[in-house]
Amino acid sequence: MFNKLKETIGEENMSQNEADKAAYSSDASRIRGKADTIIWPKTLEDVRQAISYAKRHNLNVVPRGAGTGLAGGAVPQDSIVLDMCRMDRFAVQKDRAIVEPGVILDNLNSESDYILPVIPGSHAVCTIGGMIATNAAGMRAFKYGKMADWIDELHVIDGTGKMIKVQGEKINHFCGWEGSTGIVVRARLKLIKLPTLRTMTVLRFDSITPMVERLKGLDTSHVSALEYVDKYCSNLIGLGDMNHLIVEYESEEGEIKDEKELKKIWEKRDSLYAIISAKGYTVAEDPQVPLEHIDKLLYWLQKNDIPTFGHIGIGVIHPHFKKDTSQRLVEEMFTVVKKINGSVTGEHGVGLLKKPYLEDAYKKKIKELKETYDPSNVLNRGKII
Amino acid sequence: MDDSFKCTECGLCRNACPVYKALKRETVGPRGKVMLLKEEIKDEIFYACTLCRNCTVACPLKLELDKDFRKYRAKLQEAGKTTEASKVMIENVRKYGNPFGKIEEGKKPKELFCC
Ligand SMILES: Cc1cc2nc3c(=O)[nH]c(=O)nc-3n(C[C@H](O)[C@H](O)[C@H](O)COP(=O)(O)OP(=O)(O)OC[C@H]3O[C@@H](n4cnc5c(N)ncnc54)[C@H](O)[C@@H]3O)c2cc1C
Ligand code: SF4
Ligand code: SF4
Repeated sequence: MFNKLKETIGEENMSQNEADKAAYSSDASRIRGKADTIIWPKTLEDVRQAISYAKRHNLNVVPRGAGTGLAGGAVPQDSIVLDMCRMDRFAVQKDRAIVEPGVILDNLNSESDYILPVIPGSHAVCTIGGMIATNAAGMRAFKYGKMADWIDELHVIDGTGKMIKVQGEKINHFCGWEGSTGIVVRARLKLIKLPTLRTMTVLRFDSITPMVERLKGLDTSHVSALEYVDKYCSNLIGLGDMNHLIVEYESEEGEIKDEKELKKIWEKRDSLYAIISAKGYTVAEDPQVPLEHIDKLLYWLQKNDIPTFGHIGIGVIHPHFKKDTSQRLVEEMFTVVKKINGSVTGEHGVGLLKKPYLEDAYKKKIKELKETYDPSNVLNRGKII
Repeated sequence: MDDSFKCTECGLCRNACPVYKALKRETVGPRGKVMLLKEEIKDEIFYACTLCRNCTVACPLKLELDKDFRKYRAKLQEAGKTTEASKVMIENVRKYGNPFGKIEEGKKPKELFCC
């Protein structure tokens, strides 16, 4: 069936063998799906060919970066998987970078003194394409916002196989929609000069109320990261039996000045997801709530013994649930989240995991975008809606 | 194979793996091999591991996947799944005590093998 496509893309860049299908059947969400074919495009023409082919044969295409997504966005469902990792060329020119989607964030950020300051915990492996598609945030979102804030221009191939160049407001038609409106094939990103000064203060609290009070009263003019680690998680990474706020400054204000010490604390924080997941808490959520009401959510999580850490400065936290008990508790949590005007996803995306909890306005928006850019539903079919 | 079953499939070790970096194919990376091992797929891909332990260094849980992959190779061997190169190497080790075959004094081996 794929003979024609093999001719253009090259047999060595496609596979239907059992081993490849198994390796591509999931992502970091650990939701299992089924890959039909894996394609490793090298050029945007390869991507275009694959989409046009899928459209003609009523197949569906799942773009994939590093597969670190936690909502199952890259999990195939009898799909053609487009692994974008071989499209990984980039060029940095001072405070701008032209990148292909498979570029790994840490590779881009180690190229020069200019960096993309959006740093998810998966920075060592995650790709720019995946970050754009999920509108990733991360450790320094408090100061630097989300991925959408750093895109000058995008080139995407939509569900009809058409190449589109977008700037300004239209970037939001693709950024954050998890590959269901178009496949990112190139981007021009804004960079900043690597900050030379970083210090940190680690604040400890026995209970939630004084912590939230302190959070609200904090002078944040030079704060670059503001992270929360609850008691259970703090114990796991050796911080002790207290709730912690990790406050990073791009000034002299922090108590910890030694670069190595800072790095050690960030490494502990980076390791939390894997450590907690290994304890059986494999379902990672990412609600975003307004700071003025975050204590209500934190108290609910504490009452239900749900391990939690996250980017509290922007109201995004990561409660972790055990798979067998998750459904009832997750539903209850989202009721609390919605009551305090929060949203079900702050950074991981909807994918397969959060489909049942999606707000109506979100559903309406994706339906409209699908109608415009992917009327045949070729891209990431069955995700989000 | 305990460590493979402890793997959370986060993928954080992916870019530390020299085989993954060379081929850019999930299947040959540490997480890809773990998926195969969990599904009991016996594929020659397990020979595509240098046993360098870079994945252990990068892994937040410090999982020692190399040990599992080595054990799994033995299973592959039993199932008759082996590469042409490893067949030649095993034969050479049996015959000459080294993987390169007959080497004359002061001469370099004629062929170099890699699985
Ligand atoms: C340990 C750990 C820590 C994490 N920390 C954070 C964090 O702090 N902040 C955060 O935001 N996320 C975090 N994540 C989630 C994840 O790493 C991010 O969402 C990341 O941006 C995904 O990148 P990826 O390359 O792995 O994409 P993938 O997982 O491969 O894909 C993610 C989504 O993007 C789509 N996609 C991929 N490439 C393209 C493309 N070229 N065009 C269109 N769509 C595409 C996929 O179909 C999928 O829907 C974390 C994950 C882990 C495992
Ligand atoms: S031990 Fe094997 S799987 Fe791990 S990094 Fe080295 S080559 Fe890759
Ligand atoms: S070996 Fe460790 S780093 Fe690699 S996927 Fe498994 S848990 Fe993650």
